Amino acid sequence: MSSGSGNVQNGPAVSTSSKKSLRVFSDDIWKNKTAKINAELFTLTYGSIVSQLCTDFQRDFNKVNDQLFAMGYNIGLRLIEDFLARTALPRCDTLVKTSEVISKCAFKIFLNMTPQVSNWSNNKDVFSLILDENPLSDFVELPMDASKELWYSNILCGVLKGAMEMVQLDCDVWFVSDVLRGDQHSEIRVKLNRILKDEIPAGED
Amino acid sequence: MTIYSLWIFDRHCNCIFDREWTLKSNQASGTTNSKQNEDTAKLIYGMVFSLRSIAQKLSRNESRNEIRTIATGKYRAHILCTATGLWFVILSDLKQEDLSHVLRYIYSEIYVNYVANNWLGPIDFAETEQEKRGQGTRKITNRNFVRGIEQFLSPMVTR
Amino acid sequence: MAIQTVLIINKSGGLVYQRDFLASSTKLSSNDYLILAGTLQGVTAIASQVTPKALQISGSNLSKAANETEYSIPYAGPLGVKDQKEDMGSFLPPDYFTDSFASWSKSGLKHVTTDQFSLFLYQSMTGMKFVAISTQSSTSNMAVSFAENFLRKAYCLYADFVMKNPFYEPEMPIRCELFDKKLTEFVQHL
Repeated sequence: MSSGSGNVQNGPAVSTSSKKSLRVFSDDIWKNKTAKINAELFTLTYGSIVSQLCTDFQRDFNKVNDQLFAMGYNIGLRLIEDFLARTALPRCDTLVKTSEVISKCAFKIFLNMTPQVSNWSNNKDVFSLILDENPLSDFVELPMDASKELWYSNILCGVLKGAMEMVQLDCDVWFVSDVLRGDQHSEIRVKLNRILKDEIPAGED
Repeated sequence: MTIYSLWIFDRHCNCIFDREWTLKSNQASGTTNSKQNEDTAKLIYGMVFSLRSIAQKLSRNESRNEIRTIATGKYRAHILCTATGLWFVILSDLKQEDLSHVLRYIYSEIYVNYVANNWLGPIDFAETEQEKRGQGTRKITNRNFVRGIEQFLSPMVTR
Repeated sequence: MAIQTVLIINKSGGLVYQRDFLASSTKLSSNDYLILAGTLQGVTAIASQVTPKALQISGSNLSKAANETEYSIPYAGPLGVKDQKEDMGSFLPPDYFTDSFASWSKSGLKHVTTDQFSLFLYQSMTGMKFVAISTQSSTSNMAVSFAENFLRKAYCLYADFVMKNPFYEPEMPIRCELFDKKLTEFVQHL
């Protein structure tokens, strides 16, 4: 089990057949086909990384945010292959479908959660993922000095960025709010900059 | 639609005949020896040529290892390379798993009869040095040949 | 159908992995394999360019649903995953892939047959190409779906043992013993 990954695929027309909904399809993969580890070990591992980073950077939380993002980015570059191998989903033709695959499929498979997709911009190139729960920050309280600056789960943004980039979607991903900071909910914003044309693999439609 | 197009290349890398059908409902649709197909012909030639050289390299023994089919998710190309350096290429849908008998028939019964055995027509379509280096534009225009091809292949277009 | 060779080509057409599984395989120099990889990369691109006009015309008319079902690749049996104990890495046994799946790449090169062998190609959305060369020349669609199932599993092994290896640098030649071992086991159990 590892962090969430995003990518570009077809929403409803899922690999197995269009009869199965994306939700059922992802449920099946999560329940029956994915190796799992102890959630506490996972949460503690991530927590120890963040706290170590805070120490190493002398509590310069902007640097910690960047570092978490970079780590996530490198995970995303690799994790996308796992996701595609696992699901064999076809390419999405719109960002709306991409967002559904990210929330219902990618987050489900890797973190067993389904963030809500909302706050679409008018021209459908920016959306938000609302995280109702977040296994990364299960037992976490931010220290006073960090509560204004640290995005504790910033690694997720990096993972999304890296994974989307590998399927030719150049995106910006960032946190706009986090329950750890006392906000109503945790919200990740995803903005599609452009589709990387020149990197589309040869033989693509 | 089962067959999409037929292409014939000579040993000088020139496309000497092309016939492309564009509508499933109409056997007479599409083009014959069209100028617009020149680029496509070059691409098909390049694709077959590259894969042929791969096949040759990977051959297990001295005998020739000719390429037979090439498939993508949308169509399949069937290829017959003769010892004289002619290539016959048919593009078909994916249900056609092997059309080698069709290609062989076109070669032995139509091409040989109407082109090779036609003493008054050319057997080598490249006349100048330049044309022998892939710049040729001459086509098989022989009416009997064209009719023979139409009669034989048209039923497969709408089948 | 015996698998003779497996190749992996990265998105820029470089050969990152090559392995022969039969003693009788043709021995090519590593340079020849590099050229072969580059050629396949080019041909894959060309193959999508020469899609017949008839398809381009009808493609725009046909309903999307009809197209989707046509390219769904049927499940081809457990393929080398013999029992519950068989290890497919993080892809849980007994057999992870018990459903048909859609092949997203429709216009790229998939399958080549010659007098002596067949060559199959599976492309991932990230542009990696997995190539298998089998010792039999088979044009049947069954063989194609069989091979595509096989290569998808090879892709899964790659996702596990190459991409998750923290010391592997993406796009570089693959030198991972575990991956070698798993792939060999997998091919031998076919």
